[in-house]
Amino acid sequence: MKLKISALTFAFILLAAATACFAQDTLIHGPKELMGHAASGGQLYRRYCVGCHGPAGDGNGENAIWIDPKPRDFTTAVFKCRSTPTGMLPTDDDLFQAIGRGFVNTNMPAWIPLTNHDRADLVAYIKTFSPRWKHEPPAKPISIPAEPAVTSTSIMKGRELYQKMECWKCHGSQGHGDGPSAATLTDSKDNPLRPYNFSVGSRFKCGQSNQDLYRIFMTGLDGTPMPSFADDIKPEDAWDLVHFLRTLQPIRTSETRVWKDWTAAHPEEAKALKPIGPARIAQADDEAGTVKQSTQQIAASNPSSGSAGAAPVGDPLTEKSKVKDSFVALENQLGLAGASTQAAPQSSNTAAPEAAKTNATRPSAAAQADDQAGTVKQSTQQIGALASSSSSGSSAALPVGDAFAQKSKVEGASPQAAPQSSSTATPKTSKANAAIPPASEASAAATLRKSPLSGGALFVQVGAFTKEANAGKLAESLRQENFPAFTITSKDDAYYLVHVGPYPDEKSARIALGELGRAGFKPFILYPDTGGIAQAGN
Amino acid sequence: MNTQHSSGGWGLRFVRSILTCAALVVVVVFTSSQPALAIPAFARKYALPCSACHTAWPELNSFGQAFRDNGYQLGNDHDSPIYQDSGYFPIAIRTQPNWHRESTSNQPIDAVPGDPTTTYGGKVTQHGFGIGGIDIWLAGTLYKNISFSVLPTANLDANGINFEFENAFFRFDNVKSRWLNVKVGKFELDNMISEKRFLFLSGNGGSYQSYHFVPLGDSNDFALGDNQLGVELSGHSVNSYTRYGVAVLTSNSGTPTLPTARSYDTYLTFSQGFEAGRLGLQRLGAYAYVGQRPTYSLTSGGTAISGTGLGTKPFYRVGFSGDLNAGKFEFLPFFMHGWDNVYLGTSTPANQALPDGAQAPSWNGGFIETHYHLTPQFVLTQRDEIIRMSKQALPDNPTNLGNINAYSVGYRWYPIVFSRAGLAFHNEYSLVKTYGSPLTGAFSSSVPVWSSSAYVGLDFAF
Repeated sequence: MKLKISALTFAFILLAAATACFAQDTLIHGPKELMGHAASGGQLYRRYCVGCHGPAGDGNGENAIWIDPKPRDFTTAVFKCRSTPTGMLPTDDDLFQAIGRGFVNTNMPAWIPLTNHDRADLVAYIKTFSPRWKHEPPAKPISIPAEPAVTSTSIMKGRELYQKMECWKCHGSQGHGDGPSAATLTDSKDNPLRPYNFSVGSRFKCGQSNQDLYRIFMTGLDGTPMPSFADDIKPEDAWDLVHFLRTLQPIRTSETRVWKDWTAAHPEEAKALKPIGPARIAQADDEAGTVKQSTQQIAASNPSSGSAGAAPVGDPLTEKSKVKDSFVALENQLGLAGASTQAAPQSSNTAAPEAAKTNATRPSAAAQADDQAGTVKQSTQQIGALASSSSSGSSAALPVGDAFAQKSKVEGASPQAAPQSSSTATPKTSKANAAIPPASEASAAATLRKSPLSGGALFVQVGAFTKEANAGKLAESLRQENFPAFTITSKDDAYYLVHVGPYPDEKSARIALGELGRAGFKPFILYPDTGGIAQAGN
Repeated sequence: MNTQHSSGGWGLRFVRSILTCAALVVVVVFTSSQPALAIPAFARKYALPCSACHTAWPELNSFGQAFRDNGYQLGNDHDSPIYQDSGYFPIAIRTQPNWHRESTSNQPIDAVPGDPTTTYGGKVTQHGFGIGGIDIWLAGTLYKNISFSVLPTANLDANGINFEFENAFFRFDNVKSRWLNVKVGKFELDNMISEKRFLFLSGNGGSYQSYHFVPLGDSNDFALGDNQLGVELSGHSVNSYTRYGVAVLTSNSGTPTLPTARSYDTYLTFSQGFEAGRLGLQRLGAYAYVGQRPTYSLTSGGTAISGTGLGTKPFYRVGFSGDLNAGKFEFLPFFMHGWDNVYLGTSTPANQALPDGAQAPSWNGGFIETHYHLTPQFVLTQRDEIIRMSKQALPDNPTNLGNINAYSVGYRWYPIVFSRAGLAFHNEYSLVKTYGSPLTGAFSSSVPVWSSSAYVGLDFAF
């Protein structure tokens, strides 16, 4: 009997071992010196992930309808938590860490009990869902400088940045996630989103350390309205913002301790701090008298794309940001108001009182609030004046009202105009729409230093190159085929991207997508309102 | 001849049909790739497939272990029931309608029914349809970091339905940190290899012999597999690779109605998991249970008064266990050394004299259980178990009295997979060989008792 049982056990093991031999492996280099096997990952995916993310990886698992926020759609290869610049693919390590960390306030748990190999296998398998992983080069993580010491000055400067970068619009004056725009936020699939509530004190979406927080707003959360501020904040200023944001959390940190000590030691100064949010704007309006006057002052002192001469001493932002401010105004004029909000939100106002007053009446901000319509006209006129000072002539005649309508009309008149919203192209683009040169006249070498991806306008990315000349050639060939193509650099200046557009709506973008696809390209749509989110085309 | 030919043709067709059916089953089973589900209360709450927490339900995987250690929380700040839909109720039901066959050899049987003087050694075989215990399990979180579990079980027997609380506890989770959790009530001991969540259901295979073994003639009622009453302090690392538990338990084996002592037992556990490359997660653990049991109690009118046990005598169980993985293979080794005080071993009240030559009984036991997880929906199982007495309590006892060999083999297939419920087809055969037969009122080690179970059933959870 014992012999029979032993034979049975042996047969059992033999059968199981024989079955295991049929497993197939696909070797993929994973993070942390691990080899991720997509085949093994597939089995793990079916065990752990398929219920939410679905068999096709499109976020349509059987539980997806019950889940809020919705599961990630891997087919778009758009990920919130990355160490890479916005719009770029995350690193394998980013995905690896995300699986282990989970996402707070979502149904995505921390899969840290899984072994490193299992998570590496899952990373390998997740990358099979989108062709972007095959066609796009791996992006480099942003560099994070060493964190400076936490001081009250740093926190104070961060507080000013919070106001001037308009963080409060979503996150609220007190960081409660209840800003005026909070209720309107959606992700790239139009699912409602809630901005992070600092007062809860939970960990952040992409980690919980100061470095994680730094990384979040320097890379943005792709697929959400949280933009990247990499182009708009200097590293040291970013750390200031980190230090201030920590004081909004009800947890014991060195920042809260420093801030508490400072407010205790300087009660009068603490009380005299200007409020954050719209209250300060109203206050600024009251103090300003006439905003138009201040704007004209700025325009007068900034006759050509913004001059650094107007910046007050102690302005933490650079000349670059002031140039951008003028550039932003021109973008607004061209109907790319959202772009300015996203990429260079009122950056010039950081320390200049006059600029802060201008901020109150900037069309990008004003147009977002219908109840400020009365101000819009004034703002538009100011932009006109500003643009006039930059050789603009007809901007003042732009229709007043809804920002998107304004933008659509401009784009409808000349969709080729948007790509030229570079400071280098300002003299031409600031002319009346009729005077905007055709796309073919735009030099392929006239590479933008900043992506115009926002404000509701849609662009289609056709290619990414490491050599500017190659990008220029492709853009030129596309223009010859009557595609409104142009080149821009990626956020980290590592790549030259070839974009086509802008298109006022998704329908027209998809038409272009189809045409480009039939021409042999593998394009995808960039959704500007979500921080330059790429979605797989065709 | 025709009949013979006809019979042979029918036989071939029958064999072909069986093979065809078997092949179809194999194809269906081996090509299935959807995740299996488990106790669905948590699946409903978190919209996770049960295969996320279970290798093959009800056995936990490393993620499920961490979830359980964390107080049935994922730690995503949505654990409190306040975040759940008001229609959500943390309840799950599990039962197993089945057909089973039980057979036991060398049993004392009256040759003339009703006449005990005509006893002989014979085999008893029973079979029929049955229903496993009906578990109605409520478990979840009352609030963030406060979890609970209430598990009334209904058992069908000759007297009808009997309800008992298999467990009922509250747990304060993450007190200060994940390294301190406090559980109070009746609960399963923190055994690394859980008997409550294992993959065997039959009469002989449905329990670990090692977890319930006491020497023949021993009065100790303790069983490592029984849920106990008490308080447990436990802690774990973030991934639950490192775990510890310290429990203080009343000396009644989880049953307060027994005439037990006013004393306490202690259970200590520690386990450590580590990664072994592509082999997967390996876990090794050790445990020690130190307890005491009364040998007599106060009486009233000659009847024992519950809870007034006296003359408590000690016992202990120590050993180690493992959860070793090699790809789709999972090996569960377990070892135990047991020792009971001589008064317990001989069932002698401490206020009476011991039999001549009596000594404290001790034994070693253990098993190796193997799982092969072909897919999340299909698992092959087998277990070899052995118990050997080291010292007999009485000098006249044969040295092998009470020794046990046990074998089980089976599979579980989860054909129906939803995100809210699960169904497993369970097939198992178990065989237990015990040295020591109660024939003619005396134990005889020369005549082993063979007990076998065949089980075909459906394991249903909603």
